[in-house]
Amino acid sequence: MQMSIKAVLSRAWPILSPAFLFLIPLASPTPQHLQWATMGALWGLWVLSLNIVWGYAGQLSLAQIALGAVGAYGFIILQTQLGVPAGLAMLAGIGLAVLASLILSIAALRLSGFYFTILTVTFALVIITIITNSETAGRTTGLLASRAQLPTVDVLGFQWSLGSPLGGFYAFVVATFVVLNGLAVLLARSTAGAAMFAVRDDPKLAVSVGINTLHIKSLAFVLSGFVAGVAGILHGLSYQLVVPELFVLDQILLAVLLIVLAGRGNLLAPTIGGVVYVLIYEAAPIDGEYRQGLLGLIVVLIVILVPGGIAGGTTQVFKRVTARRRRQSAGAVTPNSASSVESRRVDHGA
Amino acid sequence: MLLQTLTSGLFLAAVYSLAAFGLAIVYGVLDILNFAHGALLVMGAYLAFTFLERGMPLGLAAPLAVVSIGAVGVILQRLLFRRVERVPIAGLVMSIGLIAIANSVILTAYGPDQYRLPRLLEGSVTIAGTQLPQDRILVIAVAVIALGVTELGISRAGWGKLLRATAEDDEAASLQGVPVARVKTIAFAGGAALAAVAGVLIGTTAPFDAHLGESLLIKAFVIIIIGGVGSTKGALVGAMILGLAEAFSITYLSTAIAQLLPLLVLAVVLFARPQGLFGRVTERT
Repeated sequence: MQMSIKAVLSRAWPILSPAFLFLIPLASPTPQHLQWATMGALWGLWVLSLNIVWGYAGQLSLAQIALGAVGAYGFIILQTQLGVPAGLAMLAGIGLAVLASLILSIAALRLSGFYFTILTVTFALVIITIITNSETAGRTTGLLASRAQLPTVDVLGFQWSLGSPLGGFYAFVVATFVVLNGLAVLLARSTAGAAMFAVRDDPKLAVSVGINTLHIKSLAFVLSGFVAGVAGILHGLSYQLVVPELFVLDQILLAVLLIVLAGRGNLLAPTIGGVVYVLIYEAAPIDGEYRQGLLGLIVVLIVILVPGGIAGGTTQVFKRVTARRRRQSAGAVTPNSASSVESRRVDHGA
Repeated sequence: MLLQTLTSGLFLAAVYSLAAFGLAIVYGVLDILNFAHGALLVMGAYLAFTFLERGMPLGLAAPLAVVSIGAVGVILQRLLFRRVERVPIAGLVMSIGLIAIANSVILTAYGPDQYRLPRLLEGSVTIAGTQLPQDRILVIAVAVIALGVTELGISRAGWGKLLRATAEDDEAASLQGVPVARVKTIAFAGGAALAAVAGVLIGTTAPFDAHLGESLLIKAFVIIIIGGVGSTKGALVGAMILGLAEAFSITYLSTAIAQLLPLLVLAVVLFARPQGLFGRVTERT
């Protein structure tokens, strides 16, 4: 009985984990802490986008941030220049990001590994160059993205204004992160998710068991483009300004560092990545220019010392401790015992 | 007009090939896609600036900056990259971490302002009735010499043979008595030094800041794909193609097309000849 509760918890934990971000402002609801939680959820979304395409399907795409830019600029141009209502413009922006990722995936996914990464990073550079040279997109000064235009939704009689300066927008971002992260966890546990892991771990074997690797990779890429579109729009709204600086190469490299630090492919990576972002970029009592250096330093050390990142590292330590305890109490454990099969199943994402 | 465009195209090609050549060496010999290559390039320019500020003449400051960045390359390879040789993606991730560290160092030491190094030469020469800036021509000459010597060395000299053997198959090379670890360190240092040469030369022709590395890095990636990954000859030809195409489309078409060019060229090459101009099919994994 006790085991099954544990099993349920271990399965539910990746879905529930982002809700942790709700706790920071609950403990102390200052504007600053609301801001921390918002940024944590936002970077959690960027990491989630990268986790689906790189963590699940094994394709390191550096185009995510540019797909986010497509979403954000699409949204704000439709809303402020063409008069489309904010909610609808948001959906259209996400749609544009998905469309862009679909087009890019047709071209890029025929390539493998290194070539794929280079094509995506070139795509990202070109998108940013187009934006900074376009009058419509506000060149380098960007476009205002007022949160006041966001709709108010009725949740069980409670009027939730998505753009309200304090709680409303924060709750909007965190709730979006919770929902998308939950869906991504379910994806990882579905047949499609299993196929993605197979493509990542052994493409030849995946083909031999009848998986269409191109379709599976496209699916991962398009879903990650969807998340990127959402993240891009929310990123612009969080600063109330859509500017090229939000979507430059540094930003996507930051997401790469966060996901490596958190544990690529792990279902907890988006939450851990968001929390790490808050700790280093918001909470750490150091000067701004040291922050990315600190993150870089930690990642370099992690790559050498703990290749699995925070999530992988703790699982490893946990396993070693439980294995030792089991050995002490019941002698040697046979490799094909039921518990080790179960732990492998849970580990499946790591 | 034509001569001017040709000069600026060759200038771009010179700068691009210096940036791409080192990247190609490091990828060919060490199998590392070094994202920090652009950061090494920029740090070369900043270091030269610091040496100049300390009162050294440019003729001393520039080579010293190049040698210093080469030494940084030795340290990075021996201290960091060598430890993750067996994990393909680890070197790439580590180099991204190094970019973040480099950005912090640059911001702390130099701030966000733009810097520039003194011009190599003032004034211009008149050829066939067209005025051409002298310093750009000198940059082209320096690049031709630096790359010519390196390429000759790789294809003819004894150390070049060791380098090529290691690039081909490091285990087999090691069995034949090639000091593989040392060859790899030298390759990394050489690649870093070439990046610094590019950085210093660019710094003498235009203002730079920490972002200079970014767009050059991506163009260098495109170039080594055009030429065939890991092929130094390919990097030279790829840089010529991209540099000239960029200059000519700025003059005769529009800046917008020039900016789309890396992606267009990349797309055409990847679909028409995925292994690149000088690449072998087996290299594509």
